[in-house]
Amino acid sequence: MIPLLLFQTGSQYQESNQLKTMLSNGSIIYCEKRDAPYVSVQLILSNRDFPDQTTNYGYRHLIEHIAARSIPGHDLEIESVGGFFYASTGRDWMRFEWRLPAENIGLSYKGIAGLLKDCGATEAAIKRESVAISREIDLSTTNEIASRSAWSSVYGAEGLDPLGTRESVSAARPSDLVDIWRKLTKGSNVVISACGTIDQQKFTSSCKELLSGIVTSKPGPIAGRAIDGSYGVPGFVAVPIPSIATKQGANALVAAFGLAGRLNRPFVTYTPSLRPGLALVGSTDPYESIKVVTDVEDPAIIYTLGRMNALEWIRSRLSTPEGSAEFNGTLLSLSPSLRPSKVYESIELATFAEFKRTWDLIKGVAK
Amino acid sequence: MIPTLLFLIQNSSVPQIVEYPNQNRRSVAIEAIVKLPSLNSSQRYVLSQSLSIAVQMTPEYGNRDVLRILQTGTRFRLYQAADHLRIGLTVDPEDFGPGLSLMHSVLTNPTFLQDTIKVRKSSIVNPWAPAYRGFELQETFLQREDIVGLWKGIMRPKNISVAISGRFRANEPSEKWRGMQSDWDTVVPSQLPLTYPPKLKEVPNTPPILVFDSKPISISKDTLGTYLLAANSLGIGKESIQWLVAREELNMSYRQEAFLIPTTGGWRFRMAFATDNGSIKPETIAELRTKLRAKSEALTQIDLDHAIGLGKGYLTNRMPNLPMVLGVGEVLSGDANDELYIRHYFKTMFSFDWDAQSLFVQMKNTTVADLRKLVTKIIDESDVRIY
Repeated sequence: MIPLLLFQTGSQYQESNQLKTMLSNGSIIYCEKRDAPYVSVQLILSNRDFPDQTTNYGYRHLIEHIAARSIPGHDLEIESVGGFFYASTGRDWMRFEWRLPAENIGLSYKGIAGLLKDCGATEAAIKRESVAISREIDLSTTNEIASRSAWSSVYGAEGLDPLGTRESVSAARPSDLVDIWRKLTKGSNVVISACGTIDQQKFTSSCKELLSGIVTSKPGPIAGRAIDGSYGVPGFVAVPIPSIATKQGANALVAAFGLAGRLNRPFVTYTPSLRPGLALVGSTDPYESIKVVTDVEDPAIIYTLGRMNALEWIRSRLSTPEGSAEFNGTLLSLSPSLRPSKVYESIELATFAEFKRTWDLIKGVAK
Repeated sequence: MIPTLLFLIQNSSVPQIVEYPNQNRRSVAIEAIVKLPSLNSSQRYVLSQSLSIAVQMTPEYGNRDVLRILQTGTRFRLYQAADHLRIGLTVDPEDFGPGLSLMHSVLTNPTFLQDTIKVRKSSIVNPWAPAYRGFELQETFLQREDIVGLWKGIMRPKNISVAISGRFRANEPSEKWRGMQSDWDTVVPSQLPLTYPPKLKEVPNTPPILVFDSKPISISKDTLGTYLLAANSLGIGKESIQWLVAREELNMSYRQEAFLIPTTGGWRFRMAFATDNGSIKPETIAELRTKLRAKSEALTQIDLDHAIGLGKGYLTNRMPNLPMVLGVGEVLSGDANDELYIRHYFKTMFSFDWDAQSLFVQMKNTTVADLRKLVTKIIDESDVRIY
């Protein structure tokens, strides 16, 4: 057990009241105590050492759909006490979240136990949820569609969309999903992360018990992802971001947030990863031109703005129980030593010269 | 020819400001609610474009000044609903004076720089967006004089109410606000000119959104809680009536929700379903209505407790499921800026205080029979629209 001491990197960001526990089977339990009207408990299942392949992309998304419904009456029980249950799938993880009044935290234990026991993959469930996923994809916004195009343009076959396609998910068999589920629930791929009004010792002890039966494992090497192109369309650019654990990653983020800081009605989409990823930066204002901004603006100002906005991004993510449980848990699922403070510090130390490399790249694709 | 809209002559006055000091916040939120007159669909379009241009620059504040005044990482919160505009911003506590001044400048005198007024359309399309819209939009060509005329016509002191919340001394914002009130244009335009023909509308290739709209409903502090409870029961979560019927039984929808929304015809209770072309035949819609009704008639105490639990979630536990579509574009979250906005909206538009606790008590006092009666009435009397 490694209690995290108060860690302060600046005047506005602190890590305190946090407890991280690494179990001998490789899994991690993280909890943060703070006053809040609810607690967010998240089960994060990492696939960092077995990325999606062309033969199975979308399968994890399908599992998420099926598993989230595999415990009869679970949603009813949670919602009846004033809580809610969420599930999502990213490129490097699958996440289940229980947002609950503190006194009902036991429902999250019940849910985690149920999920770890069985993901519920059957022919009927696959058929039902394949249709749902197909409809979900039909509801994609143009931003989401552009994001898929950007990943595909920049990373080629390694930029596969975790949502899958109707064709890719409908080919799945129960045994395929069970195989993936087994890998996802091996010790080193499991993180339970929580934040809110919580008894840290009691929570950790309960989670230890929940995780006691899972298979011990050590994380495998992280697969790379080679840049294969670039992407920029009017109103939208994709900024390649190296591993978030590196200084280069922090510098690239500064450039992405710097650009967003100069756009009217901006958006930035980025999920921390140890693999090279993308920050998608754009504007929902039809009058905005990214090219004009990159041509006209002084990079030194963008650099300053980028650092401020990137630091604010971290503070903002950590400002809610669900945001903190998600950010801390995601980083731990990437690497047991990766903490928000480390990313924060790297951003604070970002240098203009390194920032400029990404800025020039953005200028090259802006339209 | 697009009809123009006559404005009533209004006496010039000072827009009211309401203070909510809160020393625990590390920022100051400023929210303006602007009541809207009846507007046609083209004027709605011009107004939607005007909003994003108005906050870019004023004679007093250039683009960079605007960014400097807003709290780092934040932007103007802009929204056009059927009955009002939301214009909101957040500043650091020491900047509440410049924040109020910026708000005043945007309301009274945006630059509307000619170069920024181009006939360009957002490339962002969200297939679900029509479900959350309470008015029709018709694209038109844009001209600066139309934009200025529309803006000046709407931005009358009588239509505007500003709220401020955060760390400041009581009365200080009001004093500053009163000191800024010399710039209101006292010449009231007699009409909103809009003389350009509409552009041809592009038909998006997106799944149809099926909407059941109730007749206009009366929103008051005594009815709101029960309507919210009905929305919980019909359209929130994986045990709701809409989910069980449309997704599970009829397999016709991935996303379905129930919520309250202001529309040009008043507030309505809306049930929305994302579906496909095969599921919008009259017989399918009739079957959907029949099954929704049957499920509603079979509501039990367990279902009522579930619906009350959902209400507890967003009214006391800050779950982001409040089934009401207002100025955040989607269903409201527990954000402090949004809380100020919603509080100020109901005070300005309906003259009652938003009181989560009292709404929750209303929910708890509802019986199964009450809920059944309201939900079946909504289903029976709703008009169907397809977007």
